[in-house]
Amino acid sequence: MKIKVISRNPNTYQRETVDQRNKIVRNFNTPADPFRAQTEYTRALNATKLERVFAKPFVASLDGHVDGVQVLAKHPSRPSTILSGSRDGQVKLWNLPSRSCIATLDAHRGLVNDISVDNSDGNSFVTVGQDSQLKYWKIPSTIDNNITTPAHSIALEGIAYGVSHLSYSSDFVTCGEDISVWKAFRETPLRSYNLGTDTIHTCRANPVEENVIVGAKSDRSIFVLDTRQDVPLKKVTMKLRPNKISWNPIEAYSFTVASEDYSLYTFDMRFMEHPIQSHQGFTSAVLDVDYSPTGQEFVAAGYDRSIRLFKSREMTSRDIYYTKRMQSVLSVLWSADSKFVMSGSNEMNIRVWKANAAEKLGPLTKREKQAFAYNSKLRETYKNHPEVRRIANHRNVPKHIFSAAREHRVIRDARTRRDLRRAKAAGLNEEESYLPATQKSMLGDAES
Amino acid sequence: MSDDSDFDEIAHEKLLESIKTPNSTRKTKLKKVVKKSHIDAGALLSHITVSRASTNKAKQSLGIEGLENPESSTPASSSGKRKASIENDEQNSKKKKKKVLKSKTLIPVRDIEARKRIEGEIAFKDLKKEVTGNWTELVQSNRVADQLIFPLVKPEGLLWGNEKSEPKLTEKEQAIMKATDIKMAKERLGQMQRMRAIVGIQEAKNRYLKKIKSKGYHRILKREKRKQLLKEFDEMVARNPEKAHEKLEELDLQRVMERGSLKHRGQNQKFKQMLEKHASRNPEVKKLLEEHLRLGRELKSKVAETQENSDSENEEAEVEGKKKLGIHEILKDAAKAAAKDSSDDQISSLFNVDDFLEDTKLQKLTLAQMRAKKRLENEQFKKKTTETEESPMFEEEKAWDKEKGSKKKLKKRKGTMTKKSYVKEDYDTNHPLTYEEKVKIAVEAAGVNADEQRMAEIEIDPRKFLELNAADLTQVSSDFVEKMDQFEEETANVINEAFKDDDVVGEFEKTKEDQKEREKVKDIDLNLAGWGSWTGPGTTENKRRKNFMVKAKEKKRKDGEKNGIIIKDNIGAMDGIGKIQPRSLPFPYSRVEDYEAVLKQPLGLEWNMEKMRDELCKPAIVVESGRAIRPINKKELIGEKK
Repeated sequence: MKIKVISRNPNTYQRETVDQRNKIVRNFNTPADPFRAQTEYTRALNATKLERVFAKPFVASLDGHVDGVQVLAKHPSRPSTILSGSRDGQVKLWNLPSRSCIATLDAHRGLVNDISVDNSDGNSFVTVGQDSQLKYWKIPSTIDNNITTPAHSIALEGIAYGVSHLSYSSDFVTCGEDISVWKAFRETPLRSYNLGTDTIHTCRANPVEENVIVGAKSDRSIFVLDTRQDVPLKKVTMKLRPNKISWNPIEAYSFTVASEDYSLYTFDMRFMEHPIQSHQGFTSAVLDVDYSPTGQEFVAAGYDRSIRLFKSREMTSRDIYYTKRMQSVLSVLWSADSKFVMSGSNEMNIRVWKANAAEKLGPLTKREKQAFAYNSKLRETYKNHPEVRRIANHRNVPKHIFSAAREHRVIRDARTRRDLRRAKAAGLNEEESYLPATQKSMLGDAES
Repeated sequence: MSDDSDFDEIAHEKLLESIKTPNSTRKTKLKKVVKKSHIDAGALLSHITVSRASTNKAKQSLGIEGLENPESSTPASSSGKRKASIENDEQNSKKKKKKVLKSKTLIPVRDIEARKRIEGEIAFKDLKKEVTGNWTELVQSNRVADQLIFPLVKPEGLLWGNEKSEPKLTEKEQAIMKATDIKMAKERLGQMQRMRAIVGIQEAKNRYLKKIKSKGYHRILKREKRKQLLKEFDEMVARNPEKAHEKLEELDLQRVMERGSLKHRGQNQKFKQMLEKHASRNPEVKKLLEEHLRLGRELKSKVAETQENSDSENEEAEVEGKKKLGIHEILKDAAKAAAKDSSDDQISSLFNVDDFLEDTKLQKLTLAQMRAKKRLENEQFKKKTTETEESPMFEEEKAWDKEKGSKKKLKKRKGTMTKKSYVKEDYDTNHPLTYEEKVKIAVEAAGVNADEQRMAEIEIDPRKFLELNAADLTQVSSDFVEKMDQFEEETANVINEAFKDDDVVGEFEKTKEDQKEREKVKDIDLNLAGWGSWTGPGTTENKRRKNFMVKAKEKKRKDGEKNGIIIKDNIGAMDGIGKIQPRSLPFPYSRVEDYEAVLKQPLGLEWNMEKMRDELCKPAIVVESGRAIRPINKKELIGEKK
């Protein structure tokens, strides 16, 4: 059947122009479009669907380690260079664009406990290992398997579990039996702080304030230290062990703690009584955490064989990454250009993921940029509409995570019910008795 | 736990104290004592080795500054360089203790742990204050910012990453840099633009001058040129007569060329029209016109000769004589003269030139004479034309003029006739057509358009037209109608074929019935098993049931009588659009109006200008891929503040 349509050849009513551009007639006082809301809602829905369609976060796998990747570190000014230390004492330097290992160092006997790159000019890095050694390595301007021996090596009295460079400085702190502040090429620390008998298993120097350090001890406490003072400043104890700590690079006083109790806690250094935000979603212990250099998000590694990305002030994760063969993740890293996240896991692989799962890599045309900006704005605006939210939040997770999450939910609900009943029995008001997760995580009153 | 042990010590200390001071009550809590008792805190603070503003303040507030030993404050730990472990510190404190022991009689019990704790607390307060003062504003502004562009502080220098190393340039590069200096380049560009503008203006002026049609302007222009030329010529005559001769020849040649090109002729509108419309078709008229032109040329070009031959009044007489002759004779004469001219022209002109050169007075005279002659001739010619008005040539011209109008009408006629023929109107051949007659006369007289006329006659034959068209019309219409019918049948068949199996109307009716049934308000059955099931005379099953039924009220449906429409009566909040609408107010909003306002803001390009759209859709975080983002640099920021 022939269908007749009204169509006009533009040549019949448009004047011929030199550059093929015709004047667009606009009405600057147009009446409101009655279908505007519907159109944009539909577009938002489609944008959300497309975002999920294009969500392919896995970029590459860097293989070469022969044991679990214990620690990952980034170079502060070279976004393409990352460092990794494994459980067999090997340290590898990687070039991300070529996805190749550019240097392999047999740094320690036993596992590499921590790596930290110089924060002032990025020409050196420090490794500490289970063999009670502290090694100081030079980074040449072009790395091509040309690092063989450390520039300096110090035998420590006890095992150092963590090392971290001070803000924009080549000085660094190590933690273990005590906290020591070091200067490069010195045999002895500048100063050291004895914080008691408990082992300090992690410490991180503030990336903004050059004197502030936070760390965690094996008595489940978190402490704040000022290198200008002789004594530790503050100590709070959590109910379960804080595993790792990461500072927010653009907020001088907030840091996030990866905890053994399946969640993460963001603290405000000034008000340490309890965390200001809890981040939930993991179904097992959280082993590592690293902030995005923009300070808006962080990535966390779970013993449940997944990594999750959180917005720094939201309770639930915005995304979860996993693969079939990825075992428990021991370390994570957010790249220095904030576009990628890396995960080092127990099965010897370092995996590179996109920080935004659906992001298109490579240069974009202007129109593409505009279209992506429009779509993301639509998603943002309509994110609270049920359909949009359902699609945006839906994730297919591995069976073990799914069932564990359900189990945890049941347990959590049961506990909430129990607490409510107890409060009722004690004659307490519902609201009075309610304790948020942030406060529940702390042990008793805050103590110095 | 270590904490517990601490508590014990404090308790112990407290106990001792309470024993010493009989006024203190035993009921006060242990913790509070540690914090509040003046003696304790003062004693503890006296051993703080760090000299900080707040420590001093704290001491002041506690009223212990005066008590402090001046020596104890001097070995302050200058934090950066001093290498001090806690043990060393303890040793120091022991020494100080001894000093205090010497100086004071009353010695409080000092607890190192407690002292450290207080020291730490004070330092923590300091740090808190410092950090809050330095960063709260920045952090808050970053948190609420619409857009954050990273790096937050733009690095100085060309390359990011190694800002310190300025690129060193070789001499060649420096030369290039100098050559590509932006200031110079701008200057040069400005100059070029100015030049271009001047050229453009000049070009535009020239173009404008070229386009001027004003005869007056051109006359003036020509006169000026001529003057200039004469001036030059005069000068040349004085300096180089041979060259002047050549020049004169050249000028004459130019004049001949110009005259020959007919450029100066046929400029008036009427003449042009005549030339266009008639001369091309009518050879006779053409001939006439040509003759006319030739005559004009003759009359004009012969001025010099006549002047040469006769500079008396008999010339006028001669002309008059000529005038009395018939126009053919005049033309013949003119033609002969022209023929002669062509042979004599050069010689005469040469002769003239020689004369010219001899005397300037003569030149002037001749010029004046020439002009006078010309004027005279023109007048004569005019007179001639008026006198010979009744000559056949003019008679014909009139006819032509009329024909022009009539032709138009004829054309129109043709159009109308073809149209009229469809409506079966008789064509009146005897219709009085004054113009046509005149046309015919004119055309026949001239002998033009004979062929055209024949053609027209054939075309205009009314009977042919009528028969043909009427037949066509009927045939087409009947065909068309038939085809239309056929088409409708076909389409109906096609549609029936396509929807053979589905009874749309029936289905719709069925769904409507279902809907009605579902939405019907049902009777409430209050029957309970066993209740009211007694029997007796007069009770029937039906009656009994009715007692326990609450009858539902008949509800009038909105779509009851309307065909092809279903109006659902009871729709829940979650049935229709409620399914896709947000159920509660999302987090940052506190009022529904605010949230609605945000949703009402159109974002797309259809409802916004491009700039506005870009502004609305700008991403919250902007990062450059491949560029490292470093944490906030305190030194840089503080440097900026200063």
